Amino acid sequence: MDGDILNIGAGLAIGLGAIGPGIGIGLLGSKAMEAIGRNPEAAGPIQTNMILAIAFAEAIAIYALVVAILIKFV
Amino acid sequence: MSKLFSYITKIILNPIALGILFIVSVLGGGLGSALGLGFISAPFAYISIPSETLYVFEGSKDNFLINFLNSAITNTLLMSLLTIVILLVVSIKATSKMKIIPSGIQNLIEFAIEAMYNTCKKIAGEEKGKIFFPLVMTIFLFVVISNWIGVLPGTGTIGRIESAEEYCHHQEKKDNLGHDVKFNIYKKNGNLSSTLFGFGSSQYKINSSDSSLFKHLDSKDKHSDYHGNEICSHDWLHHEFEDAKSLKAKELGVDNFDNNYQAGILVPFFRGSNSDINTTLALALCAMITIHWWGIKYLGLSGHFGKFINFKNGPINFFVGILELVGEFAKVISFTFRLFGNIFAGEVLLFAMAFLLPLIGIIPFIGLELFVGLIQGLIFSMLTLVFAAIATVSHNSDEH
Repeated sequence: MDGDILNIGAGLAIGLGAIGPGIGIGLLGSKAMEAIGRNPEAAGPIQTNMILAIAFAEAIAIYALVVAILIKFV
Repeated sequence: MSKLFSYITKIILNPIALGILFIVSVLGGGLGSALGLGFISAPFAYISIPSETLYVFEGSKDNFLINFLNSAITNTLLMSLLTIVILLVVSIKATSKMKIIPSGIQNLIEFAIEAMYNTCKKIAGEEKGKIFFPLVMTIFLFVVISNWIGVLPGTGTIGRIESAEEYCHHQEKKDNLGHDVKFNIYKKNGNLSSTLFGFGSSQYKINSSDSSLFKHLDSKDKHSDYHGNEICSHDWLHHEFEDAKSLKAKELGVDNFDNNYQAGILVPFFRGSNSDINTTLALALCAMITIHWWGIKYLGLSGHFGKFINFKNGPINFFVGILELVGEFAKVISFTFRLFGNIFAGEVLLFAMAFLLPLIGIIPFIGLELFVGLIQGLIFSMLTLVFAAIATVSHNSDEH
């Protein structure tokens, strides 16, 4: 019983924690596409900066992953 | 006429062959085994977050060097060493016969290095880019190559069966017992093919997916009742296993499993080195310590740490400094878990697809994992570069 609740908690932690970064990465991607469409010559720097920004958005999902792993295994 | 025939074979037979392969993979895989088919399915691989131990040094307590090496060789450590060997061989080969007009492997390496070098100079400036480049390129090459060889078929699937007793012995040595382990039943002393993950279990007389014994051995809880301090006794494990075996046999309607079967887990010889959290933590620490070293070098001791502990500009800036100090530790954590999470999740995804659709389901995901491996290497190295560029700029020069 205890283990079941822990499993549900871990699943919820990563599942809910991935919503925000998911939306954020989607917004980043759409804005970057828009920018490339307006100025195709700047595609290189836009891509680099987009990947960096996505990495920062992803970091929040990573905190959720850490919490999920802590719930599951510690 | 022969041309027409070849067209017909291309248009008709290739889809038919693919379709047959698809049907075989659906019916023979994990999906089919729910319907009582599943003739090529294997039990779902045991997913372990810590890397599996391949070899434990005996008498490790006395020898400092062996103690320092954590007294065991794990499969991810082996993969890291393999990565280093590959990088060495490639770079020696690329630079042994250098030409002014590069071709072949020299061309490839020069392209990669030049692209990264230009990026470094663009982001960090002409002078600092030269200094940051070696670390950034080393991280990029190491992460990308180790990710790519971790995706190759055979990593994580070819290994030897470690029996339950042996597993507990190893974990006991590392003081690491007390987590749940699911053991599968394997045929004892089988030939080599029975140690291969996909097809091995189909050699059993009973259906392979049923023959897997998913048995929880929560050793610490159960065991402290009987033996106090001693964590795991082999007799107890054997007894548990015998019980579980007869229970499972009764469930299947078979008389009993004979002594040819053993409980164990598959210990792969190779596993992508970034799916071990120790590797990624080591990379993150190397990157962050070097970044702070550069910060001290360019801004001086007080200039660099003055960013974090800042009494001069009022209470708001003091709290901003404290936040930045916390942020430095968060950078290590996010470096570590970003790479680990991506690579480990990819590995689990490949396991799941190999379980559900054995022959063809894994192919598109291998492509995906190659892409993810490249992107993660790029992110790790780019973030190192950007953090280094930020750390070597003083706050005062920003406010102009």
